[in-house]
Amino acid sequence: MTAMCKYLHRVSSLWLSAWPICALVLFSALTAIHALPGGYVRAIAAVPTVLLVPGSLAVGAVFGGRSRPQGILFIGYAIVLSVLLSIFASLALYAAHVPITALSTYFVMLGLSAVLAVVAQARLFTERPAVVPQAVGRSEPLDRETPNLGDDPDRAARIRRFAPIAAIVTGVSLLAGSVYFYDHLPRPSDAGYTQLAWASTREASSITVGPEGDRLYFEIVHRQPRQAWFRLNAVWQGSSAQALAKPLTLSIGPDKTLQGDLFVPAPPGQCTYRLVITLTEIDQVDPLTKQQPTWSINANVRESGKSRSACAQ
Amino acid sequence: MTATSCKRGLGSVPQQSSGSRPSRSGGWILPAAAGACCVLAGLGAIAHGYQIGQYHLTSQSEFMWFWAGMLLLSLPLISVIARSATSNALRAALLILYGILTYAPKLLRDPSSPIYHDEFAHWRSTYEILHTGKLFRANPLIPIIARYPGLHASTAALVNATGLNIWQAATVLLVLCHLLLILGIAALGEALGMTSRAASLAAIIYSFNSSFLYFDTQFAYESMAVTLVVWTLVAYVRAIRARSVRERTASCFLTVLFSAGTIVTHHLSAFSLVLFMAVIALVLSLPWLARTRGWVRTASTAWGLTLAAAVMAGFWFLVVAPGTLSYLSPYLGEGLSQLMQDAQGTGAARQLFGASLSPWWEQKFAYLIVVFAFGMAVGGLLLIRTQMRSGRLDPGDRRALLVSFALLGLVYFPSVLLILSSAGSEGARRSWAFSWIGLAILAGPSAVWLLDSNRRRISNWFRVGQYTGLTVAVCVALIGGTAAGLNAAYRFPGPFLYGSEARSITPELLAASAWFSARFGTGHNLITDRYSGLVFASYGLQNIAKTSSGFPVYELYLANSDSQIPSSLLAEFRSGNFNYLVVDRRMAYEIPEDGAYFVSGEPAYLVPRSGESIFRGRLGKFNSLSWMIKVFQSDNYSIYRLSLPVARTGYSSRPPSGRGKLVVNP
Repeated sequence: MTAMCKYLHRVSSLWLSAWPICALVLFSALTAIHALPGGYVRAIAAVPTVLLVPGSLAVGAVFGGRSRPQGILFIGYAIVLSVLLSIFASLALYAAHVPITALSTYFVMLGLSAVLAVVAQARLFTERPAVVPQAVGRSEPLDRETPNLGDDPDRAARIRRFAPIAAIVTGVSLLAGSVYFYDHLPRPSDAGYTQLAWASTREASSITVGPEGDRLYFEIVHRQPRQAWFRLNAVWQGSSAQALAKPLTLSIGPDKTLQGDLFVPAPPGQCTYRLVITLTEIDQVDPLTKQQPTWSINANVRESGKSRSACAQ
Repeated sequence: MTATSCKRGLGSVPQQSSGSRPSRSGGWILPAAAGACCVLAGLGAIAHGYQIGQYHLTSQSEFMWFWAGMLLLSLPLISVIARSATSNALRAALLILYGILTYAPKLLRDPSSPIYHDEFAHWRSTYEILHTGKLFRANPLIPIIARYPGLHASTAALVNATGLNIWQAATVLLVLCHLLLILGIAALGEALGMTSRAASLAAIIYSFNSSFLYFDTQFAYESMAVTLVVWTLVAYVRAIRARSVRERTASCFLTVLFSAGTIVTHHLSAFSLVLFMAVIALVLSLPWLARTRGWVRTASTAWGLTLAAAVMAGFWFLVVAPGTLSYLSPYLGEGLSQLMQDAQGTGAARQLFGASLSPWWEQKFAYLIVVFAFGMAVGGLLLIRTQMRSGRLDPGDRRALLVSFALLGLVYFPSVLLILSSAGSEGARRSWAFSWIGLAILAGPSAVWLLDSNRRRISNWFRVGQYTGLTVAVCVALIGGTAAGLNAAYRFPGPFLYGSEARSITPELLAASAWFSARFGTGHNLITDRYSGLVFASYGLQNIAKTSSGFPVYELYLANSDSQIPSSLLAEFRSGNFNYLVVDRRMAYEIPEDGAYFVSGEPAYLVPRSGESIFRGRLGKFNSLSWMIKVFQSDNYSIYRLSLPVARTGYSSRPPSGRGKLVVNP
């Protein structure tokens, strides 16, 4: 027997006799994992622990050593229970009026895991190993029975132990690889757009303008891969539009954001007036309206100190 | 070197099972390499199909590449799983691989962010837990999900533990749920006494149901809950069939725990679970099916667990989520009523694949899936009958359980009729994820019988023909099952398609929502259409008006002028603090792909059959209403600030002559 075999034998014995406590130690090591920066490395370290350990301990505590399910059934129960315990932990925190945070969830889960680990360990010590095969595991096929031709016991034992892990690792690697491959395939560029918007929240309600006038700030965002020419216009809106400022012609390069302002003189009388800023792209046709593409924003202005109710149409 | 090989070194003698073939060392390498090549090529073909889809609204080649990829991926795995010579351990490993790899279509569809309607809603609920530390926060997109926090709580816990973002954590959780769903069906089959082969084939057959590849892989509560239902049934069946008190107690405990998890996660799954358990308990109480030694104990266990699940579900529905029944009842009630009208000739039956982007062969295969399911079900029933007659399936828990799963599986066939009514189709599709559990359990052994039947034949031609026929049947089932679920716009990426939830998210919409949140903050009440609302109510963290007959938001859009807007609606806007309006101008030009501008079930006249939008020429009024100020416009979206109540006076129609100045800084 080689030294390696002795070592494996010892590790195997230790694991079989004290796996609940070992699993609890692993779960408590999550605090160290939390010290890692958030991202894939931390996720790879934390996901198996979070999604397997609490549930495994619960299976160990519920079933004990004798009738504990094996293989896929154990993995399935363990993952489902881990997920459910996290849900019940959140519900318990909510019921106790404790905010659900990373820390509070972790401590509740750690407490639960500790209790489950103690119960599982106690059952492991006190129970004798199973001698009678479980009835449920026995297959009573509806289909015609055929011998399991591939089941060479020694080889099957190796496969049984490592094949599920290998399948999970292979499957997850293939999924991750396919996402990476897909992400690097050429794809059509995103449709661009142009925005015209007020630069503050002030314009969202009626603006009072003093005798010296006021400036209203706006921004133009041009998320297009090409340079384009625009005409910028400001008018007083009414039964017939009245020019408010001299129009500007702009050339805006790709992915540019421009800041602009409109100086508004004091409006006359007691009325509220509407002004409109319009941006029109030159030499282009909107596919929906068959006209030049146009963007606009508007605002209501009135002279300061005057009552709005005094302002008639 | 493993512990097993060490044991052999310690003196244990390797045993050869009788009848086993001499293992040829290395003989597996070539088939394994071929299988790996198929899987890699399959994944590549799926990715290529999606890449083609991004350039075209729809094209034959994207479907061809996708299905070529899916078949390359799945057929080799299915064929090795189905072989009688495959060892149980290898079969389990391949089933795991199948479970993980069948998540690829959904993962590649949206690897980095939500795209389906429900995904945005669940994203928002998870975000609320992470940022407020509380459960049951109101959800503006689907209000009922706030009362079922199972998925959100577990996703938030994973985010907290791993540092992943919400979408990444959700993806990890969903891959696991998807895998566990397949493994759960196999575990259920084995708990019912099937061989590993029959149970694995039952799991494969389950994967042909229309929800498996896309609907039940989305970030939504049913994706997790259907897995919980299956595992609850595993524990339930094991509790019923346990031969020792200790094991029965443990399985009962797990059944109650899993039922509770299902109940706090999803309403329809909870209903289905209680129904499943009740049917099983009822059948277990029928003497001619179940009477055997310990019969009363078995039935009592089943009824006790059913009662526990029903009480927990009742408590949750009545105390925590009292709106559940009113949320669910229209789906079944209106569906049945429409079906009755169709049968009497007074209704207008829903046209299947009416505006589908799918190719003709997908549509034909979708009809054939019912034939496939029927054939497998009949095969399963005949097998049960034969076994009962030959005395190999005596009265007892196993006979009763198989019959009850068969009954539950047969529910699939009447539910297919509901697909003909527009109100019932949604509910029918959702029910298939559950009825196919029973159908798969029924069909698994009959699939084994079919595969092994060629041993009784002599002709090689017959054998080749039979394998070809089975392969074709699997292809038809896989393609048809998926096509019968979601339409192509959901399944394939593609250019923007107005009114299609899965193709509505554009950088422009995301930018508009981000601009609004940055300028005005979060938590505002907005009026908008269904598709813009997805982003504003999720990433934008705003609340959107939920259109209904009592709150007809569409009247605002339909009015030709200020005076036509119902004052009662304006009063509701004011009382509800709806201070902003987001308008997508395309609604004036286009008919929505999904058939609704605001909410499914909105008045039919909003989407006229003429193909011309009812809102044409009616949206320009928003620019001139005195109580609406336009604060933002991009190519397609405009945002207005509402000044309510509407003032008696507006802005002056006689503009002043004062001159200002425009300045733009580069």
